[in-house]
Amino acid sequence: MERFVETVIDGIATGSIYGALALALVLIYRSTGIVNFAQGEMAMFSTFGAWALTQAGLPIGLAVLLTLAASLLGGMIIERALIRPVEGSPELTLVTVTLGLFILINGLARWIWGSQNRGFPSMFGDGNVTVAGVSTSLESLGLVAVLLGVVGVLWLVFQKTKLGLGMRAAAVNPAASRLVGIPVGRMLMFGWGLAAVCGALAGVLVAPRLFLDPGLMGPVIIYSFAAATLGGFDSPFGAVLGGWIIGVAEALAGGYVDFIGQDLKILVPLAVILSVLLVRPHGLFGSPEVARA
Amino acid sequence: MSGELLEVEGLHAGYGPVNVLEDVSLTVGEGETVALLGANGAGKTTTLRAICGMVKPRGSVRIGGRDVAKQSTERIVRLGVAHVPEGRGTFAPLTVEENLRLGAYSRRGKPSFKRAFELFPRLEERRDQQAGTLSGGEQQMLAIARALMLKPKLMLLDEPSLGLAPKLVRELFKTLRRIKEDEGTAMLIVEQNANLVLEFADAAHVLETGRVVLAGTADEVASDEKMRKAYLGY
Repeated sequence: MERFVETVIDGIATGSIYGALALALVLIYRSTGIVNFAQGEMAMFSTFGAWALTQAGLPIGLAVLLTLAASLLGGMIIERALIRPVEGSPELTLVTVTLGLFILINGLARWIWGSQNRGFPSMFGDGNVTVAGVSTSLESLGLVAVLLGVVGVLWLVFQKTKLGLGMRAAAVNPAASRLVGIPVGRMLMFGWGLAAVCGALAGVLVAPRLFLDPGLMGPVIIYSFAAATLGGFDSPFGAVLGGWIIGVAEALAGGYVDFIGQDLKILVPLAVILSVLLVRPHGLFGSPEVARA
Repeated sequence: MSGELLEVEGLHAGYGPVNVLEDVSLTVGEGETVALLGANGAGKTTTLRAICGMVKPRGSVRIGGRDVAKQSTERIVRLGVAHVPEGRGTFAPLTVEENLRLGAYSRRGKPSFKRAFELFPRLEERRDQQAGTLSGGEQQMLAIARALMLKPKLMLLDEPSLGLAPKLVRELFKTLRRIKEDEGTAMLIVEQNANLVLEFADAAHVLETGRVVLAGTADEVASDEKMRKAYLGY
């Protein structure tokens, strides 16, 4: 029983990372209808930035904060420079642009930092807590806390501030938004910035568990796509819950189903994506697309 | 400088290679109500869109003496121009209150809903409801209330009576009259319902295939022989 609970908690912790990156995907999809395939690479690049700052002698906490601020700016610049010119283009164009961005950022990281593995320090130390025979790492608890914090902040921004109201309006109806004086372009830019911040958080949270190299986010983005698909691509709440479900499913499948083990568990998210698309294409909390005949 | 609030001169506009407006000129004075009449496809909606920068105009559009022909829509809104588009343009998934808040987006400070709820008590009852769940008539109220939140100098109304039952149309025009009298807001109204709007407007322009073919006071236009036959039906 303890082992089961520990596995589930571990799954929720890992799932929080998927949730953070899925949240980034959802933020961009909701406001611009773009599926950003480069989200993981943007996160990886941010994580390298944080790593470089720690190498320069900064404490990890400060390095992460600076990285998040830089990511906000970076996301906004990417939107303005690369996405705005193709705004409103057919989907194939948009997919091509984000795939190009994926390759560009990945290549840039390899060129700057090389392909070797590097260790990345954890923000939460390596202590353990044991409650009623169930032992969890501080890191796992920290991951869940950070994700809940992010969700809380995003909720406050979107529901309680004028900026957030403007962003929601711009996502729902850009034409009408302009008519009430909302600078729609700036809202989209800010949306990309916020998404980059969520992604950067996912990166610095996952890096201590793996090794930091330019391929860092490859597996993570697949789990995050599964999480966003499961939760519904336009639902932030769904992205988080989807992340947790995927994390737990992955942990349980890896721990209990013999033939899956560590090597095959990447199939879990793919199976989830496929079954969701077949059974409930808009996910658990997404809004189904309705078109009038 | 004349005291006109809106001066449109030699306006050409269109979509891509298609020219919809040819040399349209009109003025709206402070607190004045001007009706824009014409058949479908005459260019009424395009005129409103060109004034608020949703389609790029050639020619001159001045608001309060400032040339805005090259300005973005957001800028023009900040000069006090509220556009109630055809089909109302409400934010369906957002609540009534959020829609109203958005109307005041380009104003500083806390928005006051007092006047909006005074004119449309129905909206206060439905304050926390999603705008998309309102009836057609209520959505039109919301669109006008949202425009008022800007405390506009000029309102551009595109077919406000479209799709409303006759009783609601009369109520709507009564409310517009209240706004005209109490707020002194100038209005440029595109309307199919020529009879009703001419009763309440000060001046009118008639568009035909992108040109102004008749202009004058509402009485002059209403008594024009050709106009009566074509639009007023008597």
